[in-house]
Amino acid sequence: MPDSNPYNKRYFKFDLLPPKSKEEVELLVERDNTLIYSFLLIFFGMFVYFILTMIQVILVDPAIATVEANLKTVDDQINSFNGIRETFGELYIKARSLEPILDRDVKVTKVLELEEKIRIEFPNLIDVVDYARRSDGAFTISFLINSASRVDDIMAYLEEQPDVSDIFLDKITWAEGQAGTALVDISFKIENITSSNG
Amino acid sequence: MDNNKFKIQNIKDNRLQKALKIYVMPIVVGISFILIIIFLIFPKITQIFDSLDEISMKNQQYEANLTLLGQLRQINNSATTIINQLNGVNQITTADQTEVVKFRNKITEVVEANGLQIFSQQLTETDPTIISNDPTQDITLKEVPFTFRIEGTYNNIVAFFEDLSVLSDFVIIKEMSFSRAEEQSTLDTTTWVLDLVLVKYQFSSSSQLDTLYRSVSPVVQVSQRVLEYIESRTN
Repeated sequence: MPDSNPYNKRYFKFDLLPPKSKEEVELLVERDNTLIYSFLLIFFGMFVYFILTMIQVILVDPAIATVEANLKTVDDQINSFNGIRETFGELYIKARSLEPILDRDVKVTKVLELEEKIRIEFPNLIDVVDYARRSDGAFTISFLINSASRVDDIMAYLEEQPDVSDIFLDKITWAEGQAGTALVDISFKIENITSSNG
Repeated sequence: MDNNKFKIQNIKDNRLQKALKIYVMPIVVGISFILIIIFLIFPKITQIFDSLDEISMKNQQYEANLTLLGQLRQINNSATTIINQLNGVNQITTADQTEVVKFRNKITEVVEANGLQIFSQQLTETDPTIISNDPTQDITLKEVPFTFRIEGTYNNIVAFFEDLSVLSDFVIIKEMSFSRAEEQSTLDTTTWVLDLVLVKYQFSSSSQLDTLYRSVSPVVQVSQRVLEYIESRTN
């Protein structure tokens, strides 16, 4: 049979503060829970920050250092070729500058070779009196021809020649009849002889 | 009556205090959590992603540099040829002023060596035309024209042209008129007159161009025509 008298116990507790109401106890419990959750939230935030910092320190920073070291090694190797690189660059830039100039060069020997070939193909027919380069870059050969009727043959022969284009019969001046002697101007272009301001 | 009002006010205050006891801490902690996110976590994430971007960019640069290194090694294998070719270019396009006079004298020698006579010669030495070649304008090409009127036989003039084509200068025949001066029967004896405009080209630079030269990709192709021309002029 339980002893209902509290003073019969070996020890007893007592509280000088007035007992808390049920409402107050619930409030305190609720506050305590809130405190726990609040600190858990802060802890979680700091934990995430810690994890991120560790990722950065352990993974990311060393990776950057490795890549930078590799890059520096390759850069040093590249720099060791600076001399030949500058030489090559200078050669390229100067050659690029000179290339359009070559287009303006009159390959006279090529023109003379062509004239030589005409004289071999048509022996004793023509006698060149003038070679000139026109402002449009075309070359003009003026020649005396024994038989003016064969001008067409010369034109046809020129058209067959490689590197020769834009062939025009500029002028024909008959000294005698149309089948006799004549002064003929033929203009044409040869590869590498292009228009310029000349 | 006043006593009742005081009691009601007291009850309201007690409720407010209780509410504060419960809600102040969560509000403070909530704000703190948001501040942690804003000032610690978010910048850290941004920093990590920036670092990853940096790694990616540097890796790409590393790959590109490795490719460049390979190309430079290839160029280095033909270093002797490249140096010789550049020496050839510099030799025939030298910017030295005295070279212009030397060039005129050289042409005169070639003319005389082929038995030709110089009627007249004109040298535009003082005010050469500057041709802009490069977008940077750091390197310029000077155009120095020479006008000659020469007289001689056909064969001698042809020989003169042949000598001119192997002259160790970057020179082109810009204009010419080559005509018979008198009517005779054979090419060997007939006198011909040659009006010739020769143009000599010279490089000059306004500054040190190392950076410009280094910016050229090692994979570009140097003009074969120019190299052949230089070879014909320097051998």
